[in-house]
Amino acid sequence: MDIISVLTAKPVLIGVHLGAAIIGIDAFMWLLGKLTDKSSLRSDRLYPAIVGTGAFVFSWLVGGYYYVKYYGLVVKPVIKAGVAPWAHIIVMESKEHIFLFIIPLAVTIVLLAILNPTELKKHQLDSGLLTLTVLVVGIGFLIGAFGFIISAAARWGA
Amino acid sequence: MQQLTRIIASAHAASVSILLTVALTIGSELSPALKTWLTGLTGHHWTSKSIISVVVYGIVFAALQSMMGERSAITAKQSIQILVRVTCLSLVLVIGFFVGEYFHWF
Repeated sequence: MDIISVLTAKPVLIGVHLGAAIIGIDAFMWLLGKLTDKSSLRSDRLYPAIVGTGAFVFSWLVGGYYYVKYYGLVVKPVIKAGVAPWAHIIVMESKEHIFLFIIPLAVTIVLLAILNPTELKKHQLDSGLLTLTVLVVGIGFLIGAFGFIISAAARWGA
Repeated sequence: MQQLTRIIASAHAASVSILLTVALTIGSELSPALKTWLTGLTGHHWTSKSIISVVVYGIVFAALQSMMGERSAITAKQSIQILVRVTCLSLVLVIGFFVGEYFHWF
C-alpha cells in the first residue's frame, strides 16, 4: 500500500476532516476569548481568525472528497437500510449544506479582525464580530454533533 | 475607509452565497431536473453547489467592492446584522426542509 492509498483511506479522511474542524472550532473559540479580552492586540484576533478559516477550508476539502468518493456508495446505503434512516435524510443532508455557510462567514470574520480593537469599537463593529464568531462556533458544534449522529447510525444502525 | 467597504462587500456576498446555497439545496430536492443539471456540471450535485457558493461569493464581493465608494460604519454594522439574520434563517430553512421531507409534510 503506497502513501497516497493510506492518506486517502476512509478512516484517515474522516479523522483529518474531524481534526481540522476541531482546530477550526477551537481557533474561533480562541478568538471569542480574545474578543472579550479588552486589552487584545489586533494580531491576537487576526491569527485565530486566519487559523480557524484555514482549518475549516481544509476540513471542507477533505470531508468533501470523502463525501463524494465514499459516503454515497458505502455509508449512505447502510444508514438508509438501518434503524435510523433519518440520520441520512435529515442530519447528513442538513450537515453537508450547512457546512457551506461557514467559509463566507469565516472570511468575513477575518476581514473584521483586520481592524484593530479601537477601530472596531469606534465603528460599532465589535458586537457584530462577536456575534458572527459565536455563530461560527455554534454552527461548528452543530455540525460536529451531526457528524457524531451520522457515524453512530452507520456503526450501529444496521 | 477601504476596509469598511471590504467588510460590507464580504457580508453581503456571504448573505447572497448562503441564500443561493439554500435555494439550490431545496430547489434541487423539489426539482429532479435541477439536481440532474447540478450533477452534470461536476459529476456530483454537492460539488457543484460548493463551487457555485464560492464563485458567487467571489463575484458578488468583487462587484460590490468595485461599485461601492467609501461607506460608513453604520452601513457596515447593518451588513453584519443582515448576514447574522440570513444565516439563522437559512439554518432553520435547511433543517426544517429536511425534517419536513422525512416526515412527508410536503
